Amino acid sequence: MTHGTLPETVATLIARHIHSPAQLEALLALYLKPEEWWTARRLAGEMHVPAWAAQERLEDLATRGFFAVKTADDVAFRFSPASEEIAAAVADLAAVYFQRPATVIAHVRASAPDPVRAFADAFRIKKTEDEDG
Amino acid sequence: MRPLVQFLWGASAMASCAAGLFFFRFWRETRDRLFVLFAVAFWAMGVNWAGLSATGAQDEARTYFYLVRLVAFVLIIVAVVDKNRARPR
Amino acid sequence: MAEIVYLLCALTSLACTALLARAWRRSGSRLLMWSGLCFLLFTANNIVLFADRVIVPDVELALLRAATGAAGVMVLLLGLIWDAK
Repeated sequence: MTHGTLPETVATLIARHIHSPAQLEALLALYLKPEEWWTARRLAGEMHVPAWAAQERLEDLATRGFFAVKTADDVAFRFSPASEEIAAAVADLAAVYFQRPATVIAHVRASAPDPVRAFADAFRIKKTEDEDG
Repeated sequence: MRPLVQFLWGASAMASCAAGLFFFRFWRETRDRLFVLFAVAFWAMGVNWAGLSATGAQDEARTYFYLVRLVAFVLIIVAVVDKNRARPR
Repeated sequence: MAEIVYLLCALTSLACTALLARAWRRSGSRLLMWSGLCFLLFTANNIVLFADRVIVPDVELALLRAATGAAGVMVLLLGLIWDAK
């Protein structure tokens, strides 16, 4: 199966950080409205997923340096990239996604962790930082 | 009802051995010790269920087959402990 | 003696269920979901074995014992065949 190529910054971003279509969707949702704070409940409503799934996506992307967190009365997240490069890469990702969504999704699917490795890693009680295959 | 129970034991034995074979293959592909331990564990469960089915046992606990089950789960415990002690790959 | 073994197996299965459920929440890998379900059923299986001996020794639970074990390992096999790339 051939899928088109992506700009290198985007391909790297996906390989390192975006491993499921749900993650992509969460990242783009917050990117498109960067002034707003999102709770897990709000994202869950937008994405039509249970609240715990949205919470996982938000926490994971926050850990990876895409979102800022605030814990006022409700835990909320906002798009706030940790560096210039990440900001640029996400912007490129969004641009390519709106031109060629199928290609981007195909790359995201291909970068998903191997299920066999995921099974073995599940039994690690203490998670180490970012296990990139 | 007894034939159904024996059938389920037999089916469990087959499925367990097949699952063990999958884990064995994963071990060969990844060389991760966890998988060979899981393979043997599930084969042990297969022996447990096959034995129960073949002997037509009435009570699992009275026939000492539960010791085979113990072996299987101890292997799983060993696998998890080992995974958390070894240096992460 | 057997009761202790079943209790130990139930606790081990529960621990495995928890670890697999946590990993599945994080990564969404379907094999983890099936394996988690397997160990959940194994937990139930071991609890039923324990209950059959200790809590309700007069009630015949053989079918429930056999069915939970069978369901558990078959769910795992389903996951291994279908979702282990």
